[in-house]
Amino acid sequence: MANSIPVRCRRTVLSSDGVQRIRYASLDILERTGVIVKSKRAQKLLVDAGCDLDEKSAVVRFPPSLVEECARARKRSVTFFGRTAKHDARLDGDHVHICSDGNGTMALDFETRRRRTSTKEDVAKAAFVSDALRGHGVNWPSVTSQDVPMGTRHIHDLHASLENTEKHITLATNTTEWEVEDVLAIGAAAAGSSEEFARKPFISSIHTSSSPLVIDAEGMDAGFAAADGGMPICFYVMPGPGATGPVTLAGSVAVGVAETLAGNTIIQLHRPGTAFVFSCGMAVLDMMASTRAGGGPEHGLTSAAYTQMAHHFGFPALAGGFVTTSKEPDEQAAYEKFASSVTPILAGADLIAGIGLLEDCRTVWLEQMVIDDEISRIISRMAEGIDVSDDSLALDVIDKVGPGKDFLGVRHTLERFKTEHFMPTLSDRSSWDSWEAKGSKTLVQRAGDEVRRIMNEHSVAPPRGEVEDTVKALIEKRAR
Amino acid sequence: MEEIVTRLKNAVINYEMETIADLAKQIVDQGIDPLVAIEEGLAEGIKTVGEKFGKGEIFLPELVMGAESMKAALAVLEPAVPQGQARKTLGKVVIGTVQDDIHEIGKNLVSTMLSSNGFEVIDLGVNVQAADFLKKAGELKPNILAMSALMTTTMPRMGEIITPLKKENPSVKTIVGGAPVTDVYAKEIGADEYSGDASGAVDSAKKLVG
Repeated sequence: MANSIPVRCRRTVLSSDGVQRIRYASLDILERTGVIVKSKRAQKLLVDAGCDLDEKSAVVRFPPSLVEECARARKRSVTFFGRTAKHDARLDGDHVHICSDGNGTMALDFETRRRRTSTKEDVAKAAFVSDALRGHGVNWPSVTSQDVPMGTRHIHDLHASLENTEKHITLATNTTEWEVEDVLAIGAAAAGSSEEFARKPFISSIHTSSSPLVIDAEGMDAGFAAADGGMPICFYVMPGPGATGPVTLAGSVAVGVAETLAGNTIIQLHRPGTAFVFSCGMAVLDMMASTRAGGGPEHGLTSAAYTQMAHHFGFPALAGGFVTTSKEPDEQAAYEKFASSVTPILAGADLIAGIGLLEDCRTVWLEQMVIDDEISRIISRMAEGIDVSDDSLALDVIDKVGPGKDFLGVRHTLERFKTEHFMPTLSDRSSWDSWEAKGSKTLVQRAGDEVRRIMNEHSVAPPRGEVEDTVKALIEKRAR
Repeated sequence: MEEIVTRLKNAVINYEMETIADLAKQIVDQGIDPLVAIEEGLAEGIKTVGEKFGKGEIFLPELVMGAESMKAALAVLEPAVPQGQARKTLGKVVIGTVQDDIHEIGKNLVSTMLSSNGFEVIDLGVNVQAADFLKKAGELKPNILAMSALMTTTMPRMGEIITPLKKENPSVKTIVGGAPVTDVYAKEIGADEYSGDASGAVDSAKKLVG
């Protein structure tokens, strides 16, 4: 099983009445306002199933009964298989998997300390470092390869990921049918055959709406190809409260849920039973700076509310978190990342995307990746809550130790302290003197040391040799 | 200045987008020079709104409402301007979102900021083909061609426009922007200016026409 956070101490943000009202609101949006669906294939499926299509505007209006029927038609449990079985991530509503994220365009070069355009090497390094992290479960390439010929980026992103992680890979650079074909060809090479890949797909495919309420043609058709190849579909919606969604969080969550339900209806009509993941990143627009405020407290709230809605309809949720607009791994990055991730983790989002990036998911820092891992493990401990049982109350141990003694030297402590207490990797808890003796290192310096340790000590099992040949052939075919 | 022109200016400053068109109609009916109404009413009003935004006194929704109010009145006043006359602007900007990209909120904010700062903005919309950008640049002879892309997959289209533009219409300057775009990337594709946000786009545009 992949690294995950069991959510025992769940904290929801919507009351059950709130969940019902958002459910009916999203169904109302789909029935009354409708969604622009540009894919002709999707339009045909929807009209045949009883939807109303306005030919001129491409607005489709959905009968609520159809939407709810298709929501019931999904595959009940979704597993994000790893390339190796120990990394299988079961999305069951009770475990949170931390996911790297997602197609940034810049990297802070670990060696030269220069901020520059991201390369294939950055995709590789970020995948390798995250593969080693104990708090990390699923790999979404942090950045995209921009030092490769046009038309081959999706091939290189996947190639670098397969070579540097055994964990599940979720991809967003396959936005057209032909790119999906390439991904499936590489997947088949890595699995041994197309059938084997479809049986245990270790790559999932991210497709998006364009908020508010637009589903593009190319992306949707790519989604059909991905579903046909057996890949789970993450349908990612991003209404930004105040900009591409109503300013109010409830209204934007309703728009986001409506878009996702529309996406699911289309996908299930095309291929019933396709594994489908509710996915969102709903951050407000900063009304002064005109930037997306991914590190704002609202982002955590929308992610948590959307997660509740996903679970209500019976789907797993992938939600944004660990986001900051800060430019380096500083104090703002620390508190914004904590604030935007603690809420959806405690709400039980099955996947949380965001670790390793700064500047609102633009620039990868390897140091930030290990810092975020530490944050995720702290929140993991919070999510476990307090277990109250005969064993944890430890009355016999208390009685045996007796008044005035200590509990350090008893077996009950020895056997449990590593799980009952959070064990830091980076956080400095030493005294002033020993901190000074170790070089008075800052958090970012300690994180850099940890990155170097991982680079030297970690290893990843290589993919099948066929991957290399397939990748080479595809690059030759697609480069322009 | 006529009292009603002052009212027009205040209607922009107070974001009266629902009623400002009626006021503009009254101005036309009263036979007041529409160019005076545009320059002393609308342009002054939106300038005040823009300044307040620049100082951090108001926020984006207020700025956008101010610009919407201005647009509503312009729609009435511009057709009434006698042939051969034109309003004074800082320069002409042709703007659009590149092919295969339909994300336009950032581009719209830049348009708003530019028009509230005295530029004439011609918005080509979203999913604009490279050929259309180049054609419009040739036809309209703008000072600036501004392009946006929100996705890493569509971002390279901007470079595919800049290269031929430099050959065909070297006097047209370029500004690029959009979430994944960076200063480094802008330099790589040969853009004249890059801006990370809408306010910065105004500075960039002023630099290019100044």
